[in-house]
Amino acid sequence: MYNQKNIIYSRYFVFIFFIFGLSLSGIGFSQIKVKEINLKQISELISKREAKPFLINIWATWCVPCREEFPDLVKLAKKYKGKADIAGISVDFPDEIESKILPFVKKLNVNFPIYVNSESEQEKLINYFDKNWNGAIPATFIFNSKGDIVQSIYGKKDFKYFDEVLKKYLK
Amino acid sequence: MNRSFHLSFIIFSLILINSILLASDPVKVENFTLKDYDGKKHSLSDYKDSKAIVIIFIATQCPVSNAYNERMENLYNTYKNKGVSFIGINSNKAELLTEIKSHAKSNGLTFTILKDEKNVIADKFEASVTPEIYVLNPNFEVLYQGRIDDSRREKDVKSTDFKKALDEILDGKPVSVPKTKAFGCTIKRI
Repeated sequence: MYNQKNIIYSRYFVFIFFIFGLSLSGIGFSQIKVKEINLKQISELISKREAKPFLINIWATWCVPCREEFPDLVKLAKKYKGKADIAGISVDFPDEIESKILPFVKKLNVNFPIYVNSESEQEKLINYFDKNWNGAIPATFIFNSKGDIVQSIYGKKDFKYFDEVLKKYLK
Repeated sequence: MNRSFHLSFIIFSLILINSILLASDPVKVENFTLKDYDGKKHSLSDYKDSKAIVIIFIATQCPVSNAYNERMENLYNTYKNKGVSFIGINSNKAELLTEIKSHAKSNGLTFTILKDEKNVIADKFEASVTPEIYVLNPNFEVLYQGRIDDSRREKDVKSTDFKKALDEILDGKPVSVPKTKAFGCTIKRI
Protein backbone atom coordinates (compact mmCIF):
# COMPACT_ATOMS: atom_id res chain seq x y z
CA MET A 1 0.00 0.00 0.00
CA TYR A 2 2.73 2.37 1.11
CA ASN A 3 4.82 1.43 -1.95
CA GLN A 4 1.94 2.05 -4.37
CA LYS A 5 1.42 5.56 -2.91
CA ASN A 6 5.14 6.22 -3.25
CA ILE A 7 5.06 5.22 -6.93
CA ILE A 8 2.07 7.52 -7.60
CA TYR A 9 3.76 10.45 -5.81
CA SER A 10 7.03 9.92 -7.66
CA ARG A 11 5.12 9.86 -10.99
CA TYR A 12 3.47 13.17 -10.05
CA PHE A 13 6.88 14.64 -9.25
CA VAL A 14 8.33 13.46 -12.56
CA PHE A 15 5.33 14.99 -14.42
CA ILE A 16 5.57 18.30 -12.55
CA PHE A 17 9.33 18.53 -13.16
CA PHE A 18 8.78 17.73 -16.86
CA ILE A 19 6.22 20.57 -17.20
CA PHE A 20 8.46 22.91 -15.21
CA GLY A 21 11.39 22.06 -17.46
CA LEU A 22 9.31 22.68 -20.57
CA SER A 23 8.17 26.06 -19.32
CA LEU A 24 11.76 27.05 -18.58
CA SER A 25 12.94 26.10 -22.05
CA GLY A 26 9.89 27.66 -23.68
CA ILE A 27 9.24 24.47 -25.68
CA GLY A 28 5.66 23.42 -26.09
CA PHE A 29 3.98 26.64 -25.02
CA SER A 30 5.23 29.13 -27.56
CA GLN A 31 4.75 27.97 -31.13
CA ILE A 32 6.15 31.15 -32.67
CA LYS A 33 8.45 30.73 -35.63
CA VAL A 34 10.61 33.37 -37.23
CA LYS A 35 10.75 33.33 -41.01
CA GLU A 36 13.10 35.12 -43.35
CA ILE A 37 11.45 37.73 -45.55
CA ASN A 38 12.68 39.69 -48.55
CA LEU A 39 11.29 42.81 -50.19
CA LYS A 40 9.06 40.91 -52.64
CA GLN A 41 7.60 38.85 -49.80
CA ILE A 42 7.04 41.99 -47.69
CA SER A 43 5.14 43.52 -50.59
CA GLU A 44 3.00 40.37 -50.87
CA LEU A 45 2.45 40.34 -47.11
CA ILE A 46 1.07 43.86 -47.28
CA SER A 47 -1.11 43.35 -50.36
CA LYS A 48 -2.49 39.85 -49.70
CA ARG A 49 -4.56 40.48 -46.61
CA GLU A 50 -8.14 40.91 -45.60
CA ALA A 51 -9.32 44.51 -45.48
CA LYS A 52 -7.74 45.50 -42.18
CA PRO A 53 -5.20 48.09 -41.10
CA PHE A 54 -1.67 46.72 -40.85
CA LEU A 55 1.07 47.80 -38.44
CA ILE A 56 4.63 46.76 -39.29
CA ASN A 57 7.30 47.36 -36.69
CA ILE A 58 10.96 47.35 -37.75
CA TRP A 59 13.18 46.34 -34.87
CA ALA A 60 16.31 44.44 -33.79
CA THR A 61 17.42 42.57 -30.69
CA TRP A 62 20.46 44.90 -30.46
CA CYS A 63 18.18 47.96 -30.27
CA VAL A 64 17.32 48.85 -26.65
CA PRO A 65 14.30 51.13 -27.41
CA CYS A 66 12.95 48.41 -29.75
CA ARG A 67 13.09 45.87 -26.93
CA GLU A 68 11.46 48.33 -24.55
CA GLU A 69 8.65 48.99 -27.05
CA PHE A 70 7.84 45.33 -27.71
CA PRO A 71 5.65 44.52 -24.65
CA ASP A 72 3.30 47.32 -25.75
CA LEU A 73 3.07 45.79 -29.23
CA VAL A 74 2.14 42.45 -27.66
CA LYS A 75 -0.59 44.24 -25.67
CA LEU A 76 -1.73 46.00 -28.84
CA ALA A 77 -1.94 42.71 -30.78
CA LYS A 78 -4.18 41.29 -28.03
CA LYS A 79 -6.52 44.27 -28.18
CA TYR A 80 -6.72 44.39 -31.99
CA LYS A 81 -6.95 40.63 -32.64
CA GLY A 82 -9.23 40.18 -35.65
CA LYS A 83 -9.48 43.95 -36.23
CA ALA A 84 -5.96 44.87 -37.33
CA ASP A 85 -2.84 42.96 -38.36
CA ILE A 86 0.50 43.43 -36.64
CA ALA A 87 3.88 42.09 -37.72
CA GLY A 88 7.46 42.64 -36.69
CA ILE A 89 10.41 42.61 -39.06
CA SER A 90 13.74 42.22 -37.33
CA VAL A 91 16.83 43.63 -38.99
CA ASP A 92 19.11 41.26 -37.11
CA PHE A 93 20.92 38.81 -39.35
CA PRO A 94 18.97 35.70 -40.51
CA ASP A 95 21.60 33.49 -38.85
CA GLU A 96 20.64 35.05 -35.50
CA ILE A 97 17.09 33.60 -35.44
CA GLU A 98 17.90 30.82 -33.00
CA SER A 99 20.51 32.62 -30.92
CA LYS A 100 18.91 36.06 -30.52
CA ILE A 101 15.45 36.56 -32.04
CA LEU A 102 13.60 33.44 -30.83
CA PRO A 103 14.75 33.71 -27.19
CA PHE A 104 13.51 37.31 -27.11
CA VAL A 105 10.10 36.70 -28.72
CA LYS A 106 9.52 33.56 -26.63
CA LYS A 107 10.34 35.41 -23.43
CA LEU A 108 7.72 38.04 -24.26
CA ASN A 109 5.17 35.49 -25.55
CA VAL A 110 4.91 37.48 -28.76
CA ASN A 111 1.50 36.90 -30.29
CA PHE A 112 2.00 38.24 -33.83
CA PRO A 113 4.14 37.15 -36.80
CA ILE A 114 7.84 37.89 -36.60
CA TYR A 115 10.11 37.92 -39.63
CA VAL A 116 13.79 38.60 -40.14
CA ASN A 117 14.92 40.68 -43.05
CA SER A 118 16.83 38.73 -45.68
CA GLU A 119 17.15 41.64 -48.10
CA SER A 120 20.90 42.19 -48.36
CA GLU A 121 20.58 45.78 -49.58
CA GLN A 122 19.19 47.45 -46.47
CA GLU A 123 18.79 50.79 -48.24
CA LYS A 124 16.22 49.21 -50.57
CA LEU A 125 14.18 48.09 -47.58
CA ILE A 126 14.45 51.50 -45.90
CA ASN A 127 13.32 53.33 -49.03
CA TYR A 128 10.55 50.79 -49.68
CA PHE A 129 8.89 51.80 -46.41
CA ASP A 130 9.66 55.50 -46.52
CA LYS A 131 12.09 57.56 -48.60
CA ASN A 132 12.31 60.11 -45.76
CA TRP A 133 13.30 57.48 -43.19
CA ASN A 134 17.04 57.31 -42.55
CA GLY A 135 17.10 53.82 -41.03
CA ALA A 136 16.99 54.67 -37.31
CA ILE A 137 15.06 52.00 -35.43
CA PRO A 138 12.54 51.33 -34.02
CA ALA A 139 10.29 52.54 -36.79
CA THR A 140 6.67 51.59 -37.37
CA PHE A 141 4.63 51.85 -40.54
CA ILE A 142 0.85 51.78 -40.80
CA PHE A 143 -0.90 50.54 -43.91
CA ASN A 144 -4.61 51.06 -44.49
CA SER A 145 -7.02 48.30 -45.46
CA LYS A 146 -6.13 48.88 -49.14
CA GLY A 147 -2.43 48.31 -48.45
CA ASP A 148 -1.41 51.95 -48.87
CA ILE A 149 1.10 53.33 -46.39
CA VAL A 150 -0.69 55.97 -44.33
CA GLN A 151 1.68 56.76 -41.48
CA SER A 152 5.38 56.48 -40.63
CA ILE A 153 6.27 56.49 -36.95
CA TYR A 154 9.92 57.04 -36.04
CA GLY A 155 11.32 56.12 -32.62
CA LYS A 156 9.95 54.31 -29.59
CA LYS A 157 6.25 54.80 -28.81
CA ASP A 158 3.89 53.32 -26.25
CA PHE A 159 0.61 51.38 -26.21
CA LYS A 160 -1.50 54.54 -25.88
CA TYR A 161 0.16 56.14 -28.91
CA PHE A 162 -0.24 53.06 -31.14
CA ASP A 163 -3.80 52.54 -29.88
CA GLU A 164 -4.78 56.07 -30.95
CA VAL A 165 -3.12 55.57 -34.35
CA LEU A 166 -4.80 52.22 -35.08
CA LYS A 167 -8.22 53.49 -33.99
CA LYS A 168 -8.06 56.09 -36.77
CA TYR A 169 -7.70 53.46 -39.48
CA LEU A 170 -10.32 50.97 -38.30
CA LYS A 171 -13.39 50.87 -40.50
CA MET B 1 1.37 85.23 -80.71
CA ASN B 2 4.53 83.56 -81.89
CA ARG B 3 6.67 86.05 -79.98
CA SER B 4 4.75 85.62 -76.72
CA PHE B 5 5.02 81.84 -77.09
CA HIS B 6 8.82 82.11 -77.43
CA LEU B 7 9.00 84.45 -74.45
CA SER B 8 6.93 82.06 -72.31
CA PHE B 9 9.12 79.16 -73.40
CA ILE B 10 12.31 81.04 -72.43
CA ILE B 11 10.89 82.03 -69.00
CA PHE B 12 9.72 78.47 -68.36
CA SER B 13 13.16 77.09 -69.32
CA LEU B 14 14.94 79.58 -67.04
CA ILE B 15 12.70 78.63 -64.10
CA LEU B 16 13.33 74.95 -64.78
CA ILE B 17 17.13 75.37 -65.00
CA ASN B 18 17.13 77.49 -61.85
CA SER B 19 15.12 74.93 -59.91
CA ILE B 20 17.46 72.13 -61.06
CA LEU B 21 20.51 74.16 -59.98
CA LEU B 22 18.93 75.00 -56.63
CA ALA B 23 18.00 71.36 -56.03
CA SER B 24 21.59 70.23 -56.56
CA ASP B 25 23.11 72.93 -54.33
CA PRO B 26 24.89 71.27 -51.40
CA VAL B 27 23.58 71.93 -47.91
CA LYS B 28 25.85 74.28 -45.96
CA VAL B 29 26.53 73.76 -42.26
CA GLU B 30 26.93 76.71 -39.89
CA ASN B 31 30.04 77.00 -37.77
CA PHE B 32 29.66 75.53 -34.28
CA THR B 33 31.74 75.09 -31.14
CA LEU B 34 31.66 72.05 -28.84
CA LYS B 35 33.89 70.67 -26.10
CA ASP B 36 35.77 67.39 -26.33
CA TYR B 37 35.81 64.91 -23.43
CA ASP B 38 38.78 66.73 -21.89
CA GLY B 39 36.91 70.04 -21.88
CA LYS B 40 38.83 71.57 -24.81
CA LYS B 41 36.74 73.67 -27.19
CA HIS B 42 36.70 72.85 -30.90
CA SER B 43 35.05 74.94 -33.61
CA LEU B 44 34.27 73.71 -37.08
CA SER B 45 36.19 76.75 -38.34
CA ASP B 46 39.37 75.31 -36.72
CA TYR B 47 39.32 72.71 -39.50
CA LYS B 48 38.73 75.02 -42.47
CA ASP B 49 42.17 74.31 -43.91
CA SER B 50 41.40 70.61 -44.27
CA LYS B 51 40.73 69.12 -47.69
CA ALA B 52 37.66 67.47 -46.18
CA ILE B 53 36.04 67.41 -42.73
CA VAL B 54 34.47 64.15 -41.64
CA ILE B 55 31.78 64.43 -38.98
CA ILE B 56 30.70 61.10 -37.46
CA PHE B 57 27.71 60.89 -35.15
CA ILE B 58 28.67 58.08 -32.79
CA ALA B 59 27.46 56.50 -29.57
CA THR B 60 28.98 54.54 -26.71
CA GLN B 61 26.06 52.16 -26.16
CA CYS B 62 24.81 51.57 -29.71
CA PRO B 63 25.89 48.09 -30.87
CA VAL B 64 25.93 49.22 -34.50
CA SER B 65 28.17 52.20 -33.77
CA ASN B 66 30.38 49.94 -31.66
CA ALA B 67 30.60 47.42 -34.50
CA TYR B 68 32.28 50.21 -36.49
CA ASN B 69 34.82 51.36 -33.84
CA GLU B 70 37.76 49.59 -35.43
CA ARG B 71 36.72 50.57 -38.97
CA MET B 72 36.32 54.23 -37.93
CA GLU B 73 39.76 54.29 -36.33
CA ASN B 74 41.34 52.59 -39.36
CA LEU B 75 39.72 55.13 -41.70
CA TYR B 76 40.97 57.97 -39.51
CA ASN B 77 44.51 56.58 -39.62
CA THR B 78 44.31 56.12 -43.39
CA TYR B 79 43.19 59.67 -44.09
CA LYS B 80 44.64 61.83 -41.29
CA ASN B 81 47.84 62.48 -43.25
CA LYS B 82 45.94 63.22 -46.45
CA GLY B 83 44.49 66.50 -45.19
CA VAL B 84 41.26 65.01 -43.87
CA SER B 85 39.99 65.90 -40.37
CA PHE B 86 37.84 63.49 -38.41
CA ILE B 87 35.43 64.69 -35.70
CA GLY B 88 33.23 62.34 -33.74
CA ILE B 89 30.11 63.84 -32.17
CA ASN B 90 28.15 62.17 -29.39
CA SER B 91 24.63 63.66 -29.09
CA ASN B 92 23.00 60.97 -26.94
CA LYS B 93 21.56 62.54 -23.81
CA ALA B 94 22.44 59.64 -21.52
CA GLU B 95 26.06 59.28 -22.63
CA LEU B 96 28.10 61.58 -20.43
CA LEU B 97 31.63 62.97 -20.89
CA THR B 98 33.27 60.46 -18.54
CA GLU B 99 31.63 57.56 -20.37
CA ILE B 100 32.61 58.98 -23.78
CA LYS B 101 36.22 59.32 -22.61
CA SER B 102 36.47 55.81 -21.17
CA HIS B 103 34.71 54.36 -24.25
CA ALA B 104 37.22 56.10 -26.56
CA LYS B 105 40.16 54.85 -24.51
CA SER B 106 38.94 51.27 -24.23
CA ASN B 107 38.09 51.07 -27.94
CA GLY B 108 41.24 52.81 -29.15
CA LEU B 109 39.43 55.76 -30.76
CA THR B 110 42.08 58.45 -31.16
CA PHE B 111 40.22 61.00 -33.30
CA THR B 112 38.57 64.03 -31.66
CA ILE B 113 35.22 63.27 -30.05
CA LEU B 114 32.96 66.13 -29.03
CA LYS B 115 29.97 66.14 -26.71
CA ASP B 116 26.86 67.70 -28.19
CA GLU B 117 24.99 68.74 -25.05
CA LYS B 118 21.23 68.99 -25.63
CA ASN B 119 21.73 67.59 -29.16
CA VAL B 120 21.88 71.10 -30.63
CA ILE B 121 24.28 70.10 -33.41
CA ALA B 122 22.43 66.86 -34.19
CA ASP B 123 19.33 69.02 -34.64
CA LYS B 124 21.20 71.37 -37.00
CA PHE B 125 22.44 68.44 -39.08
CA GLU B 126 19.04 66.75 -38.71
CA ALA B 127 21.04 63.68 -37.70
CA SER B 128 19.00 60.96 -36.04
CA VAL B 129 20.97 57.75 -36.34
CA THR B 130 24.33 56.37 -35.20
CA PRO B 131 26.70 55.78 -36.79
CA GLU B 132 26.20 58.36 -39.52
CA ILE B 133 28.79 60.33 -41.47
CA TYR B 134 28.74 63.79 -43.00
CA VAL B 135 31.67 64.82 -45.21
CA LEU B 136 32.10 68.57 -45.59
CA ASN B 137 34.33 70.58 -47.89
CA PRO B 138 36.32 73.53 -46.45
CA ASN B 139 33.28 75.76 -47.11
CA PHE B 140 31.28 73.48 -44.78
CA GLU B 141 29.10 72.19 -47.60
CA VAL B 142 27.86 68.61 -47.17
CA LEU B 143 29.27 66.48 -49.99
CA TYR B 144 28.38 63.07 -48.57
CA GLN B 145 25.89 61.94 -45.95
CA GLY B 146 25.19 58.41 -44.80
CA ARG B 147 26.68 55.11 -43.85
CA ILE B 148 30.30 54.01 -43.54
CA ASP B 149 29.63 50.86 -45.56
CA ASP B 150 26.79 48.47 -46.22
CA SER B 151 27.13 45.94 -43.38
CA ARG B 152 27.73 46.12 -39.66
CA ARG B 153 29.43 42.73 -40.12
CA GLU B 154 32.76 43.66 -41.62
CA LYS B 155 33.18 40.35 -43.46
CA ASP B 156 29.88 40.96 -45.33
CA VAL B 157 30.78 44.44 -46.61
CA LYS B 158 30.28 44.80 -50.35
CA SER B 159 30.18 48.57 -50.71
CA THR B 160 32.54 50.96 -48.89
CA ASP B 161 30.39 53.99 -49.63
CA PHE B 162 32.08 56.53 -47.36
CA LYS B 163 35.62 55.64 -48.48
CA LYS B 164 34.57 55.83 -52.11
CA ALA B 165 33.01 59.27 -51.59
CA LEU B 166 36.06 60.55 -49.69
CA ASP B 167 38.44 59.32 -52.40
CA GLU B 168 36.34 61.07 -55.04
CA ILE B 169 36.43 64.31 -53.01
CA LEU B 170 40.22 64.10 -52.58
CA ASP B 171 40.55 63.47 -56.33
CA GLY B 172 38.50 66.61 -57.00
CA LYS B 173 35.68 64.61 -58.55
CA PRO B 174 31.97 64.98 -57.83
CA VAL B 175 30.69 62.40 -55.36
CA SER B 176 28.90 59.74 -57.38
CA VAL B 177 26.62 58.60 -54.53
CA PRO B 178 26.23 61.57 -52.15
CA LYS B 179 23.60 60.01 -49.87
CA THR B 180 23.27 56.49 -48.47
CA LYS B 181 21.30 54.86 -45.65
CA ALA B 182 21.70 52.02 -43.17
CA PHE B 183 19.95 50.67 -40.11
CA GLY B 184 21.28 52.14 -36.89
CA CYS B 185 20.40 53.34 -33.42
CA THR B 186 18.19 56.36 -32.87
CA ILE B 187 20.00 59.35 -31.31
CA LYS B 188 18.35 59.75 -27.92
CA ARG B 189 17.51 63.43 -27.61
CA ILE B 190 16.51 65.49 -24.60
